[in-house]
Amino acid sequence: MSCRDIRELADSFLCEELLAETNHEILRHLETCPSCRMDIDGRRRLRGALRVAFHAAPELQPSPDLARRVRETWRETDLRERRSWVPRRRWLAVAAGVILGVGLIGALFLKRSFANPVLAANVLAQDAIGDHRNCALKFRLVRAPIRLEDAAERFDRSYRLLLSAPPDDVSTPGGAVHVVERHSCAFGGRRFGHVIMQYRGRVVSLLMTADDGAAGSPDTADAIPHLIGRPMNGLSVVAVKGPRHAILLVSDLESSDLAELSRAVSMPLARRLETSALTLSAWPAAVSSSRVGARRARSSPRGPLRRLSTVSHPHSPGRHPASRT
Amino acid sequence: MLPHAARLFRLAMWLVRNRADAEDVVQETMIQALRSFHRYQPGTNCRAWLITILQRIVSNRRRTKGRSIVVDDPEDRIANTVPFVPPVPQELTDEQVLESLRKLPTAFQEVILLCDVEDLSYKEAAEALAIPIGTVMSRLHRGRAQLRRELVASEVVSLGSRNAESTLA
Repeated sequence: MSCRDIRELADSFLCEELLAETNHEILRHLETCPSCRMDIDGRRRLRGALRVAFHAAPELQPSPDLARRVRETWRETDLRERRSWVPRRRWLAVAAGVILGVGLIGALFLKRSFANPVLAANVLAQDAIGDHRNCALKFRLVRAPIRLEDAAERFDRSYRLLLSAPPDDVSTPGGAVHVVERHSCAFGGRRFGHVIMQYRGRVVSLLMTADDGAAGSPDTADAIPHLIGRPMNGLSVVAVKGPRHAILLVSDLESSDLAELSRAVSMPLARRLETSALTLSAWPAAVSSSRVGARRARSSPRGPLRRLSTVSHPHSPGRHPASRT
Repeated sequence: MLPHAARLFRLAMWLVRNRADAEDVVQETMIQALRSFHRYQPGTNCRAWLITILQRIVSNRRRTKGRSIVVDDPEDRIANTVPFVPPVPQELTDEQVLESLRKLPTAFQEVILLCDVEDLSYKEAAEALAIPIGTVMSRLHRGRAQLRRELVASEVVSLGSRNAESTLA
């Protein structure tokens, strides 16, 4: 370190703003350089003199009763502000009443909205598209997906069916379907069993969720693939209704292709769900347990996600290639 | 907070140069500190926090009085005039030191007071003065250099007057 460096760093050295290593280098230099030592001593002396002069200057001394007056002002201010809280509290009570009223009206409105099948289907479609985009395409879910076994244990035993349905490779009239990943995830407060597939080079999400009446109107009550909601960012949702579940396919495929795929993939699953519902009628009601808000899922999976293909989901280590399309 | 009142007063007194105003500034600082005590992070420098409040009050007062702190940018004014920094004189009186400090631009005085007298870190001083940390460093460097030049100049003057007195005697 040269004398020039020392002069440049002298201010920061005195203010103890340098790294320990730099301080050591400066100290090593000062041991051998009387000129820099004198400079630093002078600066340090000036700093000390300034401090002493400032604190001792008679014209800068506070009056002896300053502390007492400050304390009195504090007490007065405190009292005044406490008094001003009394009318403020009344206003707060009125405001709370208004907020409660607005909240009640809002809740009634929302309830009515969910009772409306068209609105409810729109909400379901938006949740499904959101999950497809954030989980299958962008890997940015707030909470990491969990294993289907865990989801079956904690939320809805029907999710266990997704461990084997649809099979890893399915031949359809439109082409081969390959399953890339199976797990359970949540989006928009709704829990899904999620099977990520590749079909004609596109990523397709099969999502199974508790049916809150959104996936089918009385006209489409049977397991017939039908579009729900409005397409968003080129993504469509085709739904099939199971006994207590909705099975949704989400993709940027043409809706007719998606409906065809749904016939090959979702309808057999709906039938299996029906059989399981008959044999396992003692299963807990899916509707109430499948909502995330009802029972909070743990944020991290207990073990690694089940790998059914050579490529894993990004939430477990690695990313599936389908996502890059 | 009360133990800091005296130090705050000295700083306020130096900045506003009026006893009544300085007391008002300290009172206001303490009241604001009391009101916003929830914002204070325990474990951090309480004095630095109080000085930040005080500095803002002083700046607001200056603004309302229409007084500008920095007449021209001291950085620009001094940028090319610091070729040589004289050594600190051996004999320093309190009056000499304070008088020399007063001759500096206010922006330099403030940063020297906060870093050298009140022992605030660069970061704390930057927060108190609402300026970047780099500006604190450059003002401190230039302010100290100018302070040394002022001290040398005042020493020359006092030596001159002492010599004149001895000659007359």
